[in-house]
Amino acid sequence: MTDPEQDEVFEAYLKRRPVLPSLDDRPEPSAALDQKVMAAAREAIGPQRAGVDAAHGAAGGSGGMNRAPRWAVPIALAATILLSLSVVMNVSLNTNRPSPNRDRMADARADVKASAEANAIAESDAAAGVAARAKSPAMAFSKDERRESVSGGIPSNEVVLPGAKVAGVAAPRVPVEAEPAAPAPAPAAEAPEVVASAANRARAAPGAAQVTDALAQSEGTAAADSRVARAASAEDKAALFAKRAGANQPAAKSTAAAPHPTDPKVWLQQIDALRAAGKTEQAAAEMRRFKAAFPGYEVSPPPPAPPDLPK
Amino acid sequence: MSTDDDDELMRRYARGDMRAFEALYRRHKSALYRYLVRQTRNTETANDVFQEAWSKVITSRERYEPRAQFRTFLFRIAHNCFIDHCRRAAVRIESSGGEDGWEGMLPGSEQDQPDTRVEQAQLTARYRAALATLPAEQRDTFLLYESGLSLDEVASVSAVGPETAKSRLRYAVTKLRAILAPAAEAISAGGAAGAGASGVGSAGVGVIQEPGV
Repeated sequence: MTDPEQDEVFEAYLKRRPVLPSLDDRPEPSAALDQKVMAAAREAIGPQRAGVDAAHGAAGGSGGMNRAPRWAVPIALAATILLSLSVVMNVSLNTNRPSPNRDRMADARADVKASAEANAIAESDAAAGVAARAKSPAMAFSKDERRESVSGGIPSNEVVLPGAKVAGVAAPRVPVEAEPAAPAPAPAAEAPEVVASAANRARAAPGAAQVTDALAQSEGTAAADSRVARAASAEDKAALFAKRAGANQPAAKSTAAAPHPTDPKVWLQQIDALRAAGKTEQAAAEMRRFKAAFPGYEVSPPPPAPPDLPK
Repeated sequence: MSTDDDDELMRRYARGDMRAFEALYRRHKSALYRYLVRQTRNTETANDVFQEAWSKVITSRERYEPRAQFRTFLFRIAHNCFIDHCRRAAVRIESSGGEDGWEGMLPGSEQDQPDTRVEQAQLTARYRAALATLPAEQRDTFLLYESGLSLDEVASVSAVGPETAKSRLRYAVTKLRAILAPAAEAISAGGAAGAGASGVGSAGVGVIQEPGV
């Protein structure tokens, strides 16, 4: 059982009120004791202290307040790794992806190639005396068409003739609008036609210069001289084209039994070409087939052979 | 002084910052030394225990975890060091109550002091004698509380519950008051006659006051 008075005194004491005489002695550790403790503390961190003092010296002796926090090093490492990875990823992605410069270079190369092909086609057409071909804007192929010709794309209004491709020369493209009424010929039947056309071009090559000259004069352009020069070289190219086409003739022969052209004029031109090539037997056979196919068609007699030629 | 600052200083010292330890030492050295001097009643012993306690703080810097206030951590170490010292010296705390240790801590020679100082010295000597009569646990609890620790901190340092610490403190205060009250009243009466009606000794020694005064 506690005394209420003592309880009150104790409660007052707990509230830090003076209920007892205070010990006013204020003993302090001596300076020597302070030095001993400090020396022990300094000795304990001796190896670490050198680094800390160096850091303090670098920070201007600011009491270590400028020391980098402990998390700084891992964060810096993580940031460095992340940055490096992003750079590597970016570089690798850009390496695999075509760049705009590369596209531009490919376009330029395609333009050069397409213009060369267009020149060759135009020259061969001019050599063949085909007016429509000669007047067609072969030099003015649009950039898209050139790009498609290089990349393999085909414009929707053109058809590439299969089997007519000659080594080193792009397959000639025949506009579909040129023969709207005629059905698309079968690929196998077109090969002889192309061969004949190439032969015609080869025959007409000597007059190519005159045709080109006429065109240049009619157009009245300043580029006439250059075209003449190109036409002169077109003779050689047309001859080469015909020669290569002739080399492909066996393949065309193998497909000669195939269905004949539906246009009698074209067929007759082929027959004339065979005659001109000295293949009279084959021309006669073709003529027989022609007459069987078009019995009512009036065929003009073949031109008489030159008198000086031996029969 | 904030606990967070103490913890941060201790962490910085653990990382090798000597300036942090110096700040920590300056903050707590006086209270700890006072506690040890009153506990040991001998400056030499207090110096040894004080140095040992700080050495343990230094060696435990890597393992330090701020579970409690640094002051509690420091006084617990000092308390354990004092107990170890008593065991090593085979000193019985209860029976050690000689006046030798206290004599050196008196404010000064009585010959150099005025009469009031003599009376204060007499009261202080009586106070210390009364402390010596207390059981070790009660005296330890009382001195820890007088060092500025809260009851919870005292309980933590003594490794007892808060109620036990409070009970010990109550017994200590009651006994000290019972011993010191007659002397304090006599001094107060004498001081009042000599120094007027202030009711307080001229030396500034607080007199026992009744609750509510």
